[in-house]
Amino acid sequence: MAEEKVELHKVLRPFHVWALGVGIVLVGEFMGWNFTVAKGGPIASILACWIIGILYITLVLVCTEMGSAMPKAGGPYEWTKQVVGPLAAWIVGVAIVLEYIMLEAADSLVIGAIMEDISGGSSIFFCWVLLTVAVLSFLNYRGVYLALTTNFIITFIAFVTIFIIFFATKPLTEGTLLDMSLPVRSEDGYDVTLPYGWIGILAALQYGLWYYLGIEGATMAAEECRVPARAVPLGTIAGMLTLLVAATVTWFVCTHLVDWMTLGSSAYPLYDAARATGLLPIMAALFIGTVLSCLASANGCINDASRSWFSMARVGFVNEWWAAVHPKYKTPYRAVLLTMPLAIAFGFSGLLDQVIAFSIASALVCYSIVAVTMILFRRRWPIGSINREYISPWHPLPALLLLILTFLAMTAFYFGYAINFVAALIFYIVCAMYYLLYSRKRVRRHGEIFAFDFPVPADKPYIKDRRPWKKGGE
Amino acid sequence: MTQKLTGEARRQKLRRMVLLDSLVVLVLGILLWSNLALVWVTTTPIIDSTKYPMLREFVIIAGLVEGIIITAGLVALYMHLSKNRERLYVDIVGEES
Repeated sequence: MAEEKVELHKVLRPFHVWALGVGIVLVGEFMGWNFTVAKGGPIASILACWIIGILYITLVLVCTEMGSAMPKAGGPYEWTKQVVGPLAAWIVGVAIVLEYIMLEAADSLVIGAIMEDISGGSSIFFCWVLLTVAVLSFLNYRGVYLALTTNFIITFIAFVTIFIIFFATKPLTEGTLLDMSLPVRSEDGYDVTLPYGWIGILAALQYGLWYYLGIEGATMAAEECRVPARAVPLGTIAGMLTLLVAATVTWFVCTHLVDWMTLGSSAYPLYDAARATGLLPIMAALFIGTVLSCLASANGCINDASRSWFSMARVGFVNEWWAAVHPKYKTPYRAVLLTMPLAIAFGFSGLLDQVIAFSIASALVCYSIVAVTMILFRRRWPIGSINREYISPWHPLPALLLLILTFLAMTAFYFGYAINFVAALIFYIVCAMYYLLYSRKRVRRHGEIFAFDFPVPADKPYIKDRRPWKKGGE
Repeated sequence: MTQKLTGEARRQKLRRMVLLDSLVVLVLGILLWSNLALVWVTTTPIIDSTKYPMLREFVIIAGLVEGIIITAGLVALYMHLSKNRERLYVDIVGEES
């Protein structure tokens, strides 16, 4: 097939950015977050929800400023490349690709498991994993407008189902279905306020990430937006607000309907909460919401993983053959197709918790570098030196909070998944060595490391001269 | 398709677009604060503060910090949309002729 290197289609509006961000993450309200309850009890769970919520709000503020100032498809990878340097950008780029491919694999695994449960058979599990990945990859191959408009519709329906169960329980009336003492007292009458003490709050943080994991991906649609300076801030911040609302409502409904022991080990907590209401239409709505949220998440993950890979290929971090844009649909179709076999391979492994653990570890590596990138971005290009569009409030507080909370989350994650976390760190050290020994030469040969023509950094007036590949590109 | 508007009609359309966008995030912001309040009102009174000193305050502070930071982000967003509306809505109202 003939292809040419042209720009991606600029067709997206703020609601597409919202759909991309919320679509990837909303599945976390339908499953996974409830392990916070098992780790520390219901109160530790809401604290994890809000503390990790602060981490993600700061991440969103930081990403929104850099995303609207540097609207390129790779998102955090592009910003890091411009601000910090190619080695950090390579690590961020790989981390993003793996974060989203692993999430896509996990989503397809869950859809396979749900369909297997429904049918009662074991042979169709892999077929559903394969079908999910194949259909969504085709959708992304066919065009970003179609893929994200579909994502908007299914994400919106899934979001509404959370409110359906909330209002079905009649939370503010006397005839409420909710047991208002359940967050502090189990059905047996035991005190479960903090069943494992204060350390349970730290332990809960590792699963608190499920409430919001992947929201930063919303900024990766910037290059395909009609007006990135409006679509990225509006879509991303509205998306973060949507998730904060959904997370708190989900916690409220589930912890007041289901006993903490049951909730802590549930595979589908919102669906189990629906079953606790005993109302068939609510159960049907939440089942649909669970399936749709998985589909929306996998769809958004394909979009983000492919854009990051495409961006890295454009400047030679990986083979430039991957940087082709489809002549008709204007999508990075080779990068989209690359995600398919990888997601299927991880999906077929059946190791849901391992896949998710690697995704979270990759995300945390990325967040720590993004926080440093933001601090350097403001130092090198202070306000007024470039056109930065949205300006994040109270800098450097958000970047510092992001850094501190990311290390806190890493500590919590280490307590739960020490081997996975160390393995992930070793993997990224190997990635760094691969860049230094092999990939760096190709990037230097390419000669176009900087995507934006910013002025010489304020704190390092000599920085251009230190980068011979920039000279070659000029 | 881009509408061709000029003069006062264009300025009014721009103001409406900013208000519409702001309304969306304002509604979400109100929903968030309502949810925070719901959890504070229903959950904090049942926490035994003699057994768990400071836990009640911790729940309130965590929610407050979350709400305040995102609200600051919302205010910055409104200022950005309002200040740069001539450029940000060009795909809807078109270039000034």
